[in-house]
Amino acid sequence: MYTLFRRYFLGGLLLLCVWLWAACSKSNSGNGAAVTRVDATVQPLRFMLDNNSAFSNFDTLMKVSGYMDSLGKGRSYTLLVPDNTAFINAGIGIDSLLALPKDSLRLFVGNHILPGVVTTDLVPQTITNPLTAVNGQTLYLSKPLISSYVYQYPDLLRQYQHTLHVNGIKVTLTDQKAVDGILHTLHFPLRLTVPSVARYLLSQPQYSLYVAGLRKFNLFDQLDSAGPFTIFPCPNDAMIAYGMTLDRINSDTFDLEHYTPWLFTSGILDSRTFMSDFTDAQLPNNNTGYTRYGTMQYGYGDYGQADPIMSIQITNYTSPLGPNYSIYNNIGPTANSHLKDQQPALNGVIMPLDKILVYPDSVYITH
Amino acid sequence: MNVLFCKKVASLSLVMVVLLTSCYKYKERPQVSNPAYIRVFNSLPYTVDALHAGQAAPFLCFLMDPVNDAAGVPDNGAVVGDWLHTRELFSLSYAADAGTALNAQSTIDQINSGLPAQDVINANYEYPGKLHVLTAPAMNGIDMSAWAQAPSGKHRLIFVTRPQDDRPFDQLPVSLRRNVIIDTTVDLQAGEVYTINALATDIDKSQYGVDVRHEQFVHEKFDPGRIYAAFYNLSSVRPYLATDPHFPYYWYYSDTLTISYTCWINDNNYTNSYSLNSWPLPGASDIFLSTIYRGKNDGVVFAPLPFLTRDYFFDQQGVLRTLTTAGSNGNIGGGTMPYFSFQFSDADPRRITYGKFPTLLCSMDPASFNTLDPNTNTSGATPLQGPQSKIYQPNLFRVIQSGGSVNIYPTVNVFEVINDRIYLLQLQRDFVKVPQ
Repeated sequence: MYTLFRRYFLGGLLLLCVWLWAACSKSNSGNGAAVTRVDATVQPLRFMLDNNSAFSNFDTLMKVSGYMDSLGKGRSYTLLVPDNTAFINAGIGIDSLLALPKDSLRLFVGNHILPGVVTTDLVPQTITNPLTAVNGQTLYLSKPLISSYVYQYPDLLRQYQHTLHVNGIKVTLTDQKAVDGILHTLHFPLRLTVPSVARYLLSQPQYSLYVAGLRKFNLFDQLDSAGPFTIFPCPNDAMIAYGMTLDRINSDTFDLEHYTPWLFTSGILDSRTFMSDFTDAQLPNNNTGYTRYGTMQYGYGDYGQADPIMSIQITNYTSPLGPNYSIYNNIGPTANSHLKDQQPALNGVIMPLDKILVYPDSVYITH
Repeated sequence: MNVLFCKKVASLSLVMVVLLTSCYKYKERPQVSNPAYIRVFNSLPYTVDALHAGQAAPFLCFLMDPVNDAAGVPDNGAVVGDWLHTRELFSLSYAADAGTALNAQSTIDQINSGLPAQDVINANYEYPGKLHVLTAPAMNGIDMSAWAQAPSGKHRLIFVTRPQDDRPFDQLPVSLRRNVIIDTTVDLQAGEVYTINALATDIDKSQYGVDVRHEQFVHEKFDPGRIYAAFYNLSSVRPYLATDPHFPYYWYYSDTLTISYTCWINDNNYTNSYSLNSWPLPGASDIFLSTIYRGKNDGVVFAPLPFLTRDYFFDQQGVLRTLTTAGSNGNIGGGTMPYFSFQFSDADPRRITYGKFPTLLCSMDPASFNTLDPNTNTSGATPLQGPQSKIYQPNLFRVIQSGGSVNIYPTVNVFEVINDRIYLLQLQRDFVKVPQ
């Protein structure tokens, strides 16, 4: 009996020991060294540019500007690559860029390179996050926001996390991993940032009447200050079409005594707002901006078309009895602005319009 | 026989030893000594719009006594309330969804569209909400399990705006953890109850703040035969878009509000403008309740409201009357149960151009209330709150059917007016007396 007991008891004890040893949770006895896996599908940035025919224009620009030689030297970069379609969308021929002096070309190409790795999941979920490109210029990255009342479809929220706009331009393909960084593709090439809104307007002869009008209303000088401003200028032919000739602007009856400032202030916003911000962070009541003089209805949707356009329609309201008794009138034509013409400045953004915003007669002060 | 016996002894001892020793023992959560009790809401009403780049998106992480990482950016804290969603319009003194998954965010739309679980983003409508934490004991006859235990004394509170995704706060990159919008210090007394609201204090200037309310309802002596209501005004400075009758926020509640109440009872033979066959209880029509001021919590009183006898809750056939609900088309209507309404007014001479404030009808069914969209007007349905003549909250008469009988209980109600919304925190007293 003793033998039998010993046999079974000891057998059981042995089994128990093995079981206990095996069944208990183990602390991680390894030294934690991660196994480095080489992903054969991830290539260097240079390889990606050289071997994708859609990137051939930017590939050429990188090589001519000398930036290609900076890649693969141990530092990581984020490339914002306008693909060949992007140059066609913007109407920019590669030859015209290659004809630039090398310093200018480096400035243009350097605007598309960010130091370090900037993936979409590192960008805060808000608009106008500033980042500095390798040429020293500031780029503003935006991600769509949850709507003001935050009940949203979760799949939409997930999509938002991988949607990016750079200076208002859509990133068509995000987060392409490379050995030495990350690559995003753009719908348009990025324009270089100009020193100020005011100086840009002065440098463009088609805005001479617009500038003259702003000066008459004491609105021009502020546009050279720190800002930020978003401004919607209209060209001379649009000014003339609605009777704002140089003679009329210079006349004694074209001033703040005869017109409300809204003739021009309707096209000046106290913010740095890119076109895509009107979809990433909508204004209340279906993209309506409010002032004491009336409302601006902004319409913008970038659905991947080659030439996205923003439209603005101005309305005023009359009645002291409250919104239910008010009369709303359109007091200007529907003016359009093309995304490809959107110009960033150090102190704001310029969005050229094809028409004026407000008919002068509708803001005339009757004495 | 002996062999068999030995085998049995060995096997049994083996099983016993395995059972007793090999299981993983979880540590008990350490007790909090001298705790205070906190409940945290994200009451940010707005998100960023295209003309206000500096504003915060209303999705937050709350940290008490934050701990910084090597880069000097907060990544943890003594208390962490992550994925803090804008609060629900109606809440109770206990977390109705405690213990469910954080991502069980389901509006009627989401349920109807049959979204798979993995497509739902983590969200918690409050702290502690659904989290497994030590909670407050029952106090003053109220189940207080929606308040979490927190160490008493002086503490730093911060709120960080974070992206809407599934990454826990400590796994977010530095660039996303440094967006602190509120940073303050509070002194919590042991055994006391605090309700903490993250708020916008000035929307136009992108300024945010926190309201730490030392709750008095645990110290009040409430008459068991009365309903009580208290109103607080936690609104921001009036934003620019609320300064003109043409602007979209013109109807926002003003700094000073005078509140009166009406108790409505049902008569099947009578129809009034609310289409609910209801009329005011004699002597309880448009009775002044209180005047509240923005940002002033002291002086707020729990005002008693009448509690009705049992027969008001049954029709002439003895059938229990019904609560107001949203129909299949989303329109809110129906309901014959007695209810309270609250009217708001102010002394602003521009009120005639702004129009009256909406009337708050506390007539809805609490069981389905939070599944409806608070402000949005989806597919033509009536929003619960918004610029309209009537806005809604659940009924203040608590009707509980159990054990084959209907029981009607009075409640204590804390209303918080925050810009365009009126939130209700309902305390159900004497919960232990509900028949099983």
